[in-house]
Amino acid sequence: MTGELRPAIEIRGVTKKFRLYTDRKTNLKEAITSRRRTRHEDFYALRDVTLDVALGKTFGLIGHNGSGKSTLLKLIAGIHRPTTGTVTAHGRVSAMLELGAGFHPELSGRDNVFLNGAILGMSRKQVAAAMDSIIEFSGLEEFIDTPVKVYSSGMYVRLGFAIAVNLDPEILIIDEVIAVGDEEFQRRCFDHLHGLRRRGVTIVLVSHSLGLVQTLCDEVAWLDRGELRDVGAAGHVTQAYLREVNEAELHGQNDATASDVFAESSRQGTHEIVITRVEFLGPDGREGNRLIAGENARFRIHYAAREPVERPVVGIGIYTENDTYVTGDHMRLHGLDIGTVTGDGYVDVEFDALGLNPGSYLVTAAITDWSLAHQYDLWDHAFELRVRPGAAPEYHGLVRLDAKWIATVRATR
Amino acid sequence: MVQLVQPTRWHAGLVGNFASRELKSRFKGSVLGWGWSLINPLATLAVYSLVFGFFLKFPPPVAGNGHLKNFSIYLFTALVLWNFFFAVVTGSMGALIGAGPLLRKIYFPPWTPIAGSAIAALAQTGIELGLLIVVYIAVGNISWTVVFVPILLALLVAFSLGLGFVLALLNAKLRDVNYLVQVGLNLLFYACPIIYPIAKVQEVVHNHPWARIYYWNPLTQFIEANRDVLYDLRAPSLGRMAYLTIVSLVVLFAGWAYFERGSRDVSEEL
Repeated sequence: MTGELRPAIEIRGVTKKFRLYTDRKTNLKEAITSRRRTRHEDFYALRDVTLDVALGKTFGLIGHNGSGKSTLLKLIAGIHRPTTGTVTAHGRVSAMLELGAGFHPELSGRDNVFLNGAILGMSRKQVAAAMDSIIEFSGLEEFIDTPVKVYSSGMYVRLGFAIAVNLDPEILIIDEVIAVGDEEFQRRCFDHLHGLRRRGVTIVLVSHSLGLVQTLCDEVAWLDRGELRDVGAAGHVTQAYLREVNEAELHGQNDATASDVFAESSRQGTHEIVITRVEFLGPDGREGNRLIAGENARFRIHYAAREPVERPVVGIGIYTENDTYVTGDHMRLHGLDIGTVTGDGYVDVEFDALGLNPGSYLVTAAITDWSLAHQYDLWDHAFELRVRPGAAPEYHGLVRLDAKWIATVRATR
Repeated sequence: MVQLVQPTRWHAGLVGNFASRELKSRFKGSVLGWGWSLINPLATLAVYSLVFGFFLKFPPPVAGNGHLKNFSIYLFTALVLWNFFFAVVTGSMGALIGAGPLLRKIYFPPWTPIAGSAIAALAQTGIELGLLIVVYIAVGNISWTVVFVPILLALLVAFSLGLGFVLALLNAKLRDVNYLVQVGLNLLFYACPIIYPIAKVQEVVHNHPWARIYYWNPLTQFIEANRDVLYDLRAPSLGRMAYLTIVSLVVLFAGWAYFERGSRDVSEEL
């Protein structure tokens, strides 16, 4: 048997049923007094899912919230057992499911690395050998011997990720975690993931960022309410998924907008004031996430303030699906000060002639204070924007600059 | 069915790490550090000695060397075993709950944190037993029977761990178990001849049928056996050793079997 042919992970007819207790009894009194009325509903997180993850491939899982992606990851990691069916992983699985959840707060970063290594089945010697690269990767040289309870959340994440990727995994499982951390760390994570790919590590990841999935993954599986809808080449499956999400929105079958699909995981902020909705209004003033290149367009950002908020600043950022930052703008740059706000309202950004060329974009929307330092709400890469071709015949690159061409032709006499 | 584990290096590494995690975090941040591991039991010993030995004048029997008659030593000989039993039973429940965040994150056998916490308790007991034996040597009350001590300790490990497995799993399903056990242990402490000589009980309820339960309590037997070999300097009776061996192994394997069956989905309960 050759290693090439055997899949790294075999998932065969997997169904996972959870019992949802309306009120789970964790104490004796309840267990005794309400014995007869034990209410539970069966909830199928996964239904009869069969798929193979090929050795050395990077595999993405996409789908709505609650579609069973995370459950499937937990089954692959062996944390839960399938109700029926089998999950077989050939190789040492390193999972990064919850950030730093495996750390003991009183112990130092170094001791926690040893503990995590032991869980992954590595000897003390092997962990010690990887220690330097873990410390370097996490950038925690000064803090590695302090108890992790004093770490910031960013430090937690960095150490957790550094452990997961540096302890020589054969199969790496990542659940929507790379989105955390600063730009520079994210870039290092991606570089490292590419490195692991080249070394033939099998990677399974869940992400709501379709751009990321398309860039990183060879193959993608699309889960819909616990059932496998489609599996295949990354571009093909993500496009099919996008198409359906857009259609569902157009037909209003779903109260979830396309925007919601990308949301949740990428949300940050203190939420005194929140962004409730972002609408993209086309030239006819109608909503829909399709705008037309070169024509009038408005981004309408709805907010709701839970308490009076002084001088909030609304800003947007536009990214390509491959995460190239196209442009960003905010109210303060234009001197727009709306004073103290309470309740809800909306802010429009209007473009006379939308300079984006046709394609798919991801929009980030944020509300900060006047100094821009404090984030009230941030929806990172959360809103999907489609730009359709307009009247102008030809487009090059990402954006069209508002340019004039002037020729000065000197004729010799 | 009872499934025997084949301890691999993976399991050994895990158990070792859980044990060291518990030991390292136990006295972190305290100035005296490991000093507390001796101060704690000695303080308890001092209180009991004062109340029961001095005020209430519980008479300790004469020891095996014919002249030693010391209540504190007599008491500590029993207290060492009790402390270990107590630490393993309560530690098991804490260890499984404490490993919850990890178990939800990645797979490893859920018995390993429990075994790790038992090893941490064993380290503490090792220190206490060492101190006790040093004291016995100092007062000149020591004999070959000391070789029974490791055997008794091994049996007690099996007994306590078996019970610990069951209680840890029950506690994961129903958090009341922890409190119930605390109450039970409080009662059990006085239901064992720890602070009083067993002779006192025999005087009062010699032939009462319920006294049987008292005598057949494995902890009573463990404590009496330890006093046999360390205080009275005689080998425990064959019947006592046979009883302890059988009970300990049955409890260990029954507890293990129950835990193995029940712990497969424990990550969903934590």
